[in-house]
Amino acid sequence: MLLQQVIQGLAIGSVYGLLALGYVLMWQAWGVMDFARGDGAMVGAFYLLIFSQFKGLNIVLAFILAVGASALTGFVVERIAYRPILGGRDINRLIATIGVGMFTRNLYRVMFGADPFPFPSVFGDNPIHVGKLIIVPQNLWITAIGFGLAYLLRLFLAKSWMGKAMRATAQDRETAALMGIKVKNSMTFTFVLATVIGGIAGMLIAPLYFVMADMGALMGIKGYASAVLGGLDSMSGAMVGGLILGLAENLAGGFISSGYQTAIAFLIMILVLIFRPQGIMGRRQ
Amino acid sequence: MKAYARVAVVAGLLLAMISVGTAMGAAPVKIGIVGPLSGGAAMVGDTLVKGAALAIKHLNETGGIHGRQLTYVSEDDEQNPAKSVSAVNRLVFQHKVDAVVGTVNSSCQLACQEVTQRAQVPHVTPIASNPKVTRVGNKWVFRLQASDAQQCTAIIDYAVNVLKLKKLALMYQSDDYGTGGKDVIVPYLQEKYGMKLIASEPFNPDAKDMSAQILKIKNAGADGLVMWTMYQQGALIARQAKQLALQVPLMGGGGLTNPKLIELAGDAAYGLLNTQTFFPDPKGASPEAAAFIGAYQKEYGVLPDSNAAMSYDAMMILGLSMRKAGADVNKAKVRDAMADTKGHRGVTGVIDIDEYGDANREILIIGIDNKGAYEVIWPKR
Repeated sequence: MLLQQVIQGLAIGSVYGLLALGYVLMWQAWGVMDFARGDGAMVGAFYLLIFSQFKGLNIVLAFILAVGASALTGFVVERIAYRPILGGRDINRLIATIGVGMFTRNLYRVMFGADPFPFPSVFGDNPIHVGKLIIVPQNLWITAIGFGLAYLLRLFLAKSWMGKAMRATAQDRETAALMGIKVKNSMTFTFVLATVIGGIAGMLIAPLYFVMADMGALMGIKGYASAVLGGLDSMSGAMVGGLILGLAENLAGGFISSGYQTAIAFLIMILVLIFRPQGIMGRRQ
Repeated sequence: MKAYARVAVVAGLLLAMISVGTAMGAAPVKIGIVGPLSGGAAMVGDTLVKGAALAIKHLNETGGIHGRQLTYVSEDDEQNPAKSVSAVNRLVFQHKVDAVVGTVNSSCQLACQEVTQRAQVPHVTPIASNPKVTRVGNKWVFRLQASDAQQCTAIIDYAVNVLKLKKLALMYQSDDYGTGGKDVIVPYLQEKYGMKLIASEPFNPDAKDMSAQILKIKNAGADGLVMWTMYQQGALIARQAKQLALQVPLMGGGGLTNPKLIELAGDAAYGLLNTQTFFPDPKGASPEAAAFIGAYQKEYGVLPDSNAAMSYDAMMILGLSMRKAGADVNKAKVRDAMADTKGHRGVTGVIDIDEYGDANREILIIGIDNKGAYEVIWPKR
């Protein structure tokens, strides 16, 4: 029972972690809490739905196309809504992210209606029984892809030239510019990357959540909570925060009371913020 | 003086004509129908009028009200409580209707039934389901829709008596609808069967991951799962229950009836059961319902839904009560006759009107078969 709840918690937690990564990337590079992250995930899920279900493409091809479409969307949104007010006040930029989220959500509601779309579980619905334990292949894949992606991102940021440029930009925009880094390109790239990672989180969760215009609101809250929990300046913190939230929800629901499932998850967040305001893995400012 | 005399003569003649007309049974009995005829719920308003109109046609074909024909006028409330009040005001004071049928939305119903109460006009609502409608002490209002409480007890009876389940678990959404269901189910199970729920798990109405609840229910050894929620969450539960190998009958209330549930949950929805008051399945239907389905299809070219059936039954009971009350359609007598309705063989079942003005009847259990289509499971025919 305990192990079973942990397995469920890990899968959902890794998706929360990916969503949190988007928040952390945006916070570091743009210095803004980007409340459109959840809706970016929704858009990603819709792209996969369109390519794989509406167009009937092979799932791998559909996934690649959906990632590409997410990247393009990120690029366009950055140009229209984020770039023009880069020098603006923080509060204006924050409001812009909320506006982008609301616009996207309602645009998709108008285009696709408010009803959810079913999404077949690509990795198979049939559970594998290991002793008394039930393992749903989909959950294994979600966990593996979630952590794999987080690891790849870490490698990319640590080793690649672009990644180093992104980190330098995040640390100090002006100095990075003096060092010859094209700061604006670097920021655009970060935005696109955050959109793609969020989009993949949306695609991973599509079979579980169904795909609907409103799914972004809930995903955004979970990602935000995970990011704050883990620490807004820490990549690994985002994944840890996601895992803690996912596990807390499942264990609280299973062992304490499902009525307080969400409440307990947020209680943990409040406690962490009281005793470690910078988040679990965050650095003290 | 001459002018006055002429007016008096004309007035006298007019009065005489009216009274002669009444005595000859020529003046029609007027029914006012109020419903959302435009806006978001216009489809429901449309079926409401169609169902009542078909009943009026059938009543007229069988002699009307002691020779008087029934006619109707309809008014639009746009699913807006304020507009429902003015709509019913128009029906009662301008059109001078003998009775009102409608409306759909519970808030509109609660508002507009105050007009008919003050004017002492019989009022029957086919669709509004909020329990309050018949619990505000309004003696002039009757309701055909099965309240949520009736649906809860029906599914529990089916689970215990027919499926012989002994360890029922409940999942309910943590809002008025879900907790309302739980508040009926828990005491009913205790008082009627001396049973307790083996697990009672709430979830947020927007929750997506139900695995914690499902695992808990599975671990508790449940042999049946009742879920009091709408179709979307129902589909999530069905799908996740299948994934987590919770292999027990899934059942719930009318909120689950929606082909979208089958689309969302796929084969995980097969076998799912829920309550319903009417289902257009001519094979599993009672003779009354089958006749209605045929007549409705012939009249309008589409299958009736449960709203049309409720509306038909509402108008039928109203019409038959008018016949009982006599040719002058005295409103108080019509009201009393409606309150006395017992064993009316309607298209939504055999109906008794209870002390609150609610229609009690046997509730249907419908299920999803192995091809993903709804069929009537209970009562067996």
